[in-house]
Amino acid sequence: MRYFFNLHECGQITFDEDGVDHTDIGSVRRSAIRAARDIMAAEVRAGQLCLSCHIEVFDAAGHQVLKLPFKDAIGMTGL
Amino acid sequence: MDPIIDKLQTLGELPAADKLLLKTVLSDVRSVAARKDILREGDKPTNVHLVVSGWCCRYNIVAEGARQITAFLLPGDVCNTRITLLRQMDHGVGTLTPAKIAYIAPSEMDELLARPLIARALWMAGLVDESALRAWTVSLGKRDASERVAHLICELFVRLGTIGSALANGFDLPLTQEQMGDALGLTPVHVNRVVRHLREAGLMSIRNRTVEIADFPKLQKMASFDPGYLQTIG
Repeated sequence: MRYFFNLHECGQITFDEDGVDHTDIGSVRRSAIRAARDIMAAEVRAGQLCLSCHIEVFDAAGHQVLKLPFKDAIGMTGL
Repeated sequence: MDPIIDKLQTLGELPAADKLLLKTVLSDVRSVAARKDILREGDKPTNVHLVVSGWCCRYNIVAEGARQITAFLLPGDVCNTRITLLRQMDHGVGTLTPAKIAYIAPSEMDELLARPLIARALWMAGLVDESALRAWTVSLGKRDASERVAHLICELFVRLGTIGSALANGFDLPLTQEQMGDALGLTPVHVNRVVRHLREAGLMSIRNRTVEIADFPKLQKMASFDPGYLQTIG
């Protein structure tokens, strides 16, 4: 089934027009976590990080199936 | 047959007799559906394959099924001149779109390589593939996400231009963001984010599977893309 991963970054939304096929919600969640970590890693390499950005995932019927805040995608220590 | 001859001719001029031999050898052309393997990792390669139409890729699968695409194969690209020497494939080759593939037997490749100018063009094609692999290594190691996407778009634009498949300021891109991500070491969400950034920076956009390059010199500069490694003449 096709799912659409929209990226919310401090008010800016990048809409997923293509979507990606996933077999189940577990796979969707793992993919969202990988994406969040990928973007955070790039931000860190550029010298910044925003933990309140999030990813919202919708199914093909337009129902939201997941909301993943960036801070839920990583474990933080030493704060 | 024209894309192959066009592609090889960009690496070195071929006389009429050589072009005729190429047309004869490249007569076993088969249709392959999208997302199908032509060669699998571990297979013993028994034919040389040449892309007549469509897009293919070289890839490796790592643990948990993650895929790294290590090259895009476009019309005119050969996989590989002497691949039948390998005991087994170290990577997979598959279609991304529906494709037409010419199958060349080793004895037919011998016939082609007996012609010095064809041999020279095929050697050059192999060297260019190696150069592209180095360029991709630099991208993965040293370029940030935006620069990686920009560099790939520049490379595809130039390569498609040399086989007459580019538009004036862009090209049809039949790749999903997932496939682009597999080539660039990025998740599809990240590719989408970068494409938005590049559009907002006035460099390029992707709409309905078509890339529109608004400012090629600026896109090249941003990606530190030098088309020299593609070795094409004219």
